[in-house]
Amino acid sequence: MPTLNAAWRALRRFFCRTDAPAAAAANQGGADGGAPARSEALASVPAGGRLHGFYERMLEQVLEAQRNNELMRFDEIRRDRRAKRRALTLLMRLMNPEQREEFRTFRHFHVIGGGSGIRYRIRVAPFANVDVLRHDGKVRHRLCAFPAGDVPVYDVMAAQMLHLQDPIGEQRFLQRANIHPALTEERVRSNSMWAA
Amino acid sequence: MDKASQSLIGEMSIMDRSGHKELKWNMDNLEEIAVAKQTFDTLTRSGYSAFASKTRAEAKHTIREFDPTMEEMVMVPRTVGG
Repeated sequence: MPTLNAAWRALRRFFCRTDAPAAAAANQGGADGGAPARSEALASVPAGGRLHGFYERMLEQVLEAQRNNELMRFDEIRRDRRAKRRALTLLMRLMNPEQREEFRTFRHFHVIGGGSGIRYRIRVAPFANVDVLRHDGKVRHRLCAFPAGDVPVYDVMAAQMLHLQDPIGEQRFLQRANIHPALTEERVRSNSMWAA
Repeated sequence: MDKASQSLIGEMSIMDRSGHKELKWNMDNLEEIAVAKQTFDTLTRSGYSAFASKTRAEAKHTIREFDPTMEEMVMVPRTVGG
């Protein structure tokens, strides 16, 4: 859109500049009473009319482009929302009742590692959202690994849960995940709110 | 002895940017099973991991081969570290 607006401004500047000498000539002709200057100015009137028509058409096109852009933006937002809803439905279906309840209340849920027995906490966050917990419940570190492709955040959480609760999947997940230092609880809360 | 499956419909959820796509097959219908198997093979070749369970309520586990008797299957795109 900014590109279109810039192009439009440039066109307007161009046409205003080309109109200026004709208008100046018309004024000068009026002052001197010279016939040739006046006739030149009159000859420029149809050209001005054409320019006006061109201006109208351009304006229409720009407005239409703006309308189309808005529609596309709304369509994309609608698609994203729908994808998020579908992903949430899948996640809820895959969780067990305790996880579901925990997720509804706290926006996170716990998973026991299928091979290691380690407790993980999966939060709603776009990045490094898997907390590896110690026995006392404190966060040892965070893991960042997610499915390739632009999948919705709830699908990311479902994929992480499926991998971690399965012995083979957990190994594979841990091999690929990057390790990040633990966050303070305040930052965990603010990140979760941002992602929600 | 394993309990007989309550439903004869298997369902595959394939994760993608639209949330997920669903593919269902009737466990008695060989054509539908063939289509589901072909989809499964194509996806696993392209790096997807498959998790499945005999019944919907069970926890899912990794599977390497397509099993038409699985009631629910979830296909997850390959995992990348972030």
